[in-house]
Amino acid sequence: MATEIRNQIRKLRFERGELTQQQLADLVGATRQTIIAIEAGHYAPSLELAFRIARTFGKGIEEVFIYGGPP
Amino acid sequence: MSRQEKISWVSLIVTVLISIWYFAIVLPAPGDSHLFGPSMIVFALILAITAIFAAIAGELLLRRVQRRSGDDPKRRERLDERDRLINLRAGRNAYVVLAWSIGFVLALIWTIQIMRALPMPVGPTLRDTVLLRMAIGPLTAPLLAQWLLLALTLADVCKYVTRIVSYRRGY
Repeated sequence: MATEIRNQIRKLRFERGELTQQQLADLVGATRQTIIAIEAGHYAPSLELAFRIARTFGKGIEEVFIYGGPP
Repeated sequence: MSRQEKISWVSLIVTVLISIWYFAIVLPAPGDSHLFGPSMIVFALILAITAIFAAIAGELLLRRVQRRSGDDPKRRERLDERDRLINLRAGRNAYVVLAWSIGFVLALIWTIQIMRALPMPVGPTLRDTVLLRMAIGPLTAPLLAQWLLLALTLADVCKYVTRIVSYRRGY
């Protein structure tokens, strides 16, 4: 079940010295499976988790997550 | 596969096997007088002990699988927001199944009361079993307990299936 929210997490992880999914999960307080699900577009994170992920990469939330659904 | 998903698989398998074992012995048994008897208490104890050992065996199996896949078995994943959402969805689905099952039993009691008041033609004699008494009543407390147990089992199975599907297909 894909969500309408795409993301740049995979790209950003590699830009940040090949940060692993487990390392990112530990940094944002989630499980590795949740990061995998978000990356694959199977899970839309809560606003709080989305902000935490964006902040980990030093980006704004809209630079990491792109909403592709209807207005 | 996450640890939570593996736990759901183990719980589902244990629940299904224990339930099949229980109902396969209880439902074809004659009459309903034995359902609260001493033999039933011993059987329930055996089932409970088996379920505990099966859960321990499942945990050991999970650790072994984790070790083989290179993960640290001592690393216990805490629940995050996705796990909590999946648990909520599973709980909601289980609640719906439980509510429908109880509604079914109430409808059954009502139907049995109406049917028993009507003049019925004499049909072939069926073997008097717990299953037959559960279906055509009159529903005594031990028989109602079997229906409730069946409803709880269905709700539990629904909970684990929802968890597994949510982890597999995403949430």
